[in-house]
Amino acid sequence: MNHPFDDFLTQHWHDQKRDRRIFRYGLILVGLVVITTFSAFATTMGHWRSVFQNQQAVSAKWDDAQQRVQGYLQSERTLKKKLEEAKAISVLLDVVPKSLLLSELTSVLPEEAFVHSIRVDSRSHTNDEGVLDQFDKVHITGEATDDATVSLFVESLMKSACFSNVSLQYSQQKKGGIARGFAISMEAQNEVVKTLAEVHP
Amino acid sequence: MGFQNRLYLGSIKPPVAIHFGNDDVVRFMQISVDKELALDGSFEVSATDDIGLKEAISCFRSRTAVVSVPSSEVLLRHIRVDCNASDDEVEQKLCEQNKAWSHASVRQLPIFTSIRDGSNSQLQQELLCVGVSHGVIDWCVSIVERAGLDVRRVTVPVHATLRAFDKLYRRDGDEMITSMVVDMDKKQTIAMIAHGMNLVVASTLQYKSDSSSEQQWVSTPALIPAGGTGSDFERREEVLPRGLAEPNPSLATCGDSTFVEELRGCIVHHSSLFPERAIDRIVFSGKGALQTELCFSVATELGLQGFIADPSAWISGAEELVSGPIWTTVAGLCFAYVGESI
Repeated sequence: MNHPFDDFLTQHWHDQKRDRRIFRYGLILVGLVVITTFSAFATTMGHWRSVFQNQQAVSAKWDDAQQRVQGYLQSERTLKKKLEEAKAISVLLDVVPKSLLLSELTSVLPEEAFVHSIRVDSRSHTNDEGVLDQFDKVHITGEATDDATVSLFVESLMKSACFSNVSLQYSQQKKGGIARGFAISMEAQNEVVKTLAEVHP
Repeated sequence: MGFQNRLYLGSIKPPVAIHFGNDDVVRFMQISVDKELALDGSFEVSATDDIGLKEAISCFRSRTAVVSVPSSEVLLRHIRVDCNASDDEVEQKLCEQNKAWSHASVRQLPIFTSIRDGSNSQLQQELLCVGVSHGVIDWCVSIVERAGLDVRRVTVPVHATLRAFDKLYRRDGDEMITSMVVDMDKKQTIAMIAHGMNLVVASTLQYKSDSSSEQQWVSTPALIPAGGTGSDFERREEVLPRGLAEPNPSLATCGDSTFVEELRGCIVHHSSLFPERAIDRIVFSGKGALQTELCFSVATELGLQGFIADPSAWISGAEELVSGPIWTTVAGLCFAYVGESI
């Protein structure tokens, strides 16, 4: 191929043609490599797909479980709160209503006597059978015109079913007067008072 | 075709030879070589028929092509320049005579070297310059590549036509035969003179062949059988060299003396360059060579032995399909590139 008339195409044209051909072959080669790689990893990609699907399923179940736990915790908190309220209510149930004690005291109080103060102390002690026994100790102070009125008041308290162990602490004449000051202590019969509370709510 | 290509790619098909004729007809031919040259396929399709071009190309097994541009688009010029003249100087000299050279792909073939007489003797050379417009090359390449072939080379009919007769000059001494080849066409006629297979003179002629008197080509006798005397195949029992047919001597009158004078001018030019060599024969090719009476009369007037080109004589299976002078250029393209890896 040395004859000058063999080819009238320029060297530049041939170079461009060769470059285009190389580019085309390169493109085909890259395509082949991509296809080969894709087909080689097709199985692995299938596994990855199943893993992804499992992850999706687990994620859904995890969300469901989280919701359930949240509901359970909320229910637990609500239950705990209700229990505390119930406990508070039960504490109140064991207390003797002071109004009943006051009503019983005033019903037996003579007209010539009046009460200065009433104090109720809740106490407890273990009885002979080893059971914890709770009771209310009531202390009252007041004034009366004479000792007979004080005695009448003590006797009335003793007769009352709501009180027991009634004892006169003192009865003495007030300074500069004729009235007599007194102090009485007793124990409230809680069972009786509760029964009364049930009868007269 | 290199051993390496055979090793890696097996049997590589020769490229498809494609010649764009002046009559807007594109001629395709492909030959293969095993024990002998055999025709693989040939077509004639209009250059404007894209579908026909694609169908024709789909029939060939090769995807590469060598292309020959129309002879009417070829620029030819003999110029004398200093031996150390650069390509730019040559092109400048060509453009001075014809501006079309400035837009052409130009190739130079050194023909003759002489010492110019005068006070300052200087070594000079005669160059045969051949040019093809870049636009024509792009047009031909685009048509072929649009149809699906990969163009590897673009050459000119001047070169391809002479390659059709290379097989006539394979022995020692054959280079001494001087042939004049006239490619006749209704658009452009080109005369070439070759020493053996080497082109030394080429010139475009004003003569345009008249297609009204063209005759139907009758194929030449069959090839020599494989067991025949192949050693002297073109000078076998027949007097005629293989691939050349004698023109019809009947009605031997030349109606165009200008044509003969133009050919005489070429011969004179050749004699001025190579006074020791005489023209031995004249060979007519191209569509105009179908006017065999005209060819005979021209040869007779020039005093030369005249022949009509028929390269199909070397191609097995081509006798009926691609015989005759019309296929000379295409066959030359095939012969030139059949054994080469491009």
